[in-house]
Amino acid sequence: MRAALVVAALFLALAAWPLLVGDVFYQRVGALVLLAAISASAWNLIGGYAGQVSVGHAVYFGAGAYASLMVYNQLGWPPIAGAPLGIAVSLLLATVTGLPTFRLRGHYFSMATIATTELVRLLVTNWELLGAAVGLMGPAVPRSVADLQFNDPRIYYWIFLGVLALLLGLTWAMQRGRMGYYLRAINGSDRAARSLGVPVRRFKLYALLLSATFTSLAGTLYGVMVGFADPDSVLGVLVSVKMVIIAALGGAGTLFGPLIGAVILVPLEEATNAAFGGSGTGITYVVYGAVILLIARFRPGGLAELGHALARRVRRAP
Amino acid sequence: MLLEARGIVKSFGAFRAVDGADLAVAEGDIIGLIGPNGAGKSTFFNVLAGDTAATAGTITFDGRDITRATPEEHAQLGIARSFQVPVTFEDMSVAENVLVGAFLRHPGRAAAEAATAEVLEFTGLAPLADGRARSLGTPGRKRLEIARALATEPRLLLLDEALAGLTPVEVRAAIELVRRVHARGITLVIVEHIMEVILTLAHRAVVFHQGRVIADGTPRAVVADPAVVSAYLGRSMSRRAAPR
Amino acid sequence: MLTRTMLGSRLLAVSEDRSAAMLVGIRPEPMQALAWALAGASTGIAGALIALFFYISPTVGEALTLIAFITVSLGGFGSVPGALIAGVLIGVIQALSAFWAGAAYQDVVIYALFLLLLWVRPQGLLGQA
Repeated sequence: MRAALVVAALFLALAAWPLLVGDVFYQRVGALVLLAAISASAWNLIGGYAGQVSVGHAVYFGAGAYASLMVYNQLGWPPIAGAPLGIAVSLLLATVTGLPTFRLRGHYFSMATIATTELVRLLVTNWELLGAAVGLMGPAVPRSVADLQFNDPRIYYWIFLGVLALLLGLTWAMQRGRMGYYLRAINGSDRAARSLGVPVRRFKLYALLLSATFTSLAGTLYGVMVGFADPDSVLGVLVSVKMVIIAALGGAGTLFGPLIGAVILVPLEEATNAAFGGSGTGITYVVYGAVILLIARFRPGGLAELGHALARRVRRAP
Repeated sequence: MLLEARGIVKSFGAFRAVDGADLAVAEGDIIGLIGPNGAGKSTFFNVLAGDTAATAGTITFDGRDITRATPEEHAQLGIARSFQVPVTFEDMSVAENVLVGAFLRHPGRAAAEAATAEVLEFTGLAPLADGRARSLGTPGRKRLEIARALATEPRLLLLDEALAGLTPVEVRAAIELVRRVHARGITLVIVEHIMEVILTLAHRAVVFHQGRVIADGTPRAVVADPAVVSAYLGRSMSRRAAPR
Repeated sequence: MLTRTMLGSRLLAVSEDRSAAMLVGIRPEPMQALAWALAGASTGIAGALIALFFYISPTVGEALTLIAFITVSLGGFGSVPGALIAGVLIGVIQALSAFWAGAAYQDVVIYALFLLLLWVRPQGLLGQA
């Protein structure tokens, strides 16, 4: 009951935040934080809870982003209408990657996710219909409100917050029910889980499909807000790595870990980009690399584990 | 017969770890599988549990062919197992470990939690319920594996050296637990090194040697069987090379 | 080195079962460090050789990393002749697909082949099931 109140207060604070910050730059960073939190929370379903580390989630993000811009360019529909198409393509790709690899042990799944994503990236780079290496643009001026083109970043912020709340609510319900326990059991030991009647392959696939759905939705939202997608910006390896790092930094396999990770990492990234200007894109890699090293060396459980350890210590002290 | 295995062969390359073994288990039995190290009993056990597929032979459970069934299908049909080296879910609490098993028959959380509470009480793990599995010692882990398996509400429980590595006091407590599990109406097949356990618990002992069943009878009769004695003590340089 | 020396046996023992290797007196960390060092050194040699006929950029190794993994899984993990045969095979396939389909598609063919391999023969050509 108290936890529910804390969570409600947290979301109210998050919703009120852009009203308190006047600067449009910070409001925009806030929206990007929430978008990153959506995709990292989606990654968390398969990579955190089920422990099946995907390094190719960019393919679902890219499918969502390209779908939004393609329905606009080819059919003249509002970009958001591409969401179902992006999700359908993502579910197909997830099935093709997951079905053969979930029966194998070792790094096959991770490697298959990279291979699928690189395969798609190379195909898109050479596909004229999708703008090839140049990419696709969204509507320059809104034709109607359905195009969701706003100069005020706060509107995106609240839309993203709504989607994030939905995703975290679903994750919370899953975590409490059979599926949550099954995924954690699979993460703990595939073999023991099977001996207890857990249909391991099926539940890994469920988790991947749910994860791909929301990652694709995040991609569509990105396409709607930014109005531009090219192979590097939505299908690049950095997009996948970012989801992994954000989730791992905050705490993989925890409900709020990815949100915490996004709140820390995205502003850091925006600050370095702003500080170094156009020449600073490579700095992002340096930041990611440093975060990976720090997590691996000091806190494999991420910040959420650190938080729990501190909470235990506080409780133990009278 | 509840479980019937006929002509089971399991080869690894040219080596036949199990070479034509038969086993029949009636409802309510406690069967002890014994034999010297490397006799093939653990491999046979894993074939029964569906963990490895037999090269040849058939297994039926309650009249149904389960020779090619997966481990999760075994669990669904009512065959549960423990592991020789305990494989608990380390980052989950003791109660959550059991809950994973309970979800098999009770998809809803409230019902699964009620079943978990009953099993924790039954196995004496209730006081440790909220501790992490990783904090348990070997006896606790072995007990937790039995509890987790019980939560799947099996008809047949396969125990792979569930008592190995325990102190004499712990062994007695574990024997007591196995007796009470049997009293719940669960049929048991146990692989065991400790002769005392077989003599006190098993209705029937099946002795493996070099991948074959060389004796099958009451524990007392089997222990007196010259073939069994020579298999254990035999030309015993091999025994000294692999002490246990 | 792996199959004919004591050092190789120790390395394989750690890879097979870390705790069992420790029980017979092998410290796993030096063995893992050694494996990393050998792998890094060999890859370094390959990098120096590739510089003779290939353009070099900071990210030149990125695509090759994935191709290397695909090559090893095609040959079968832990199989020395498998890696050799698969390496030659991958090189030939890349060259042929660059010739027939265009240079842009040479890696596409390799990735597609890898995904197909996962369906039909995940243990690789010379690996054990």
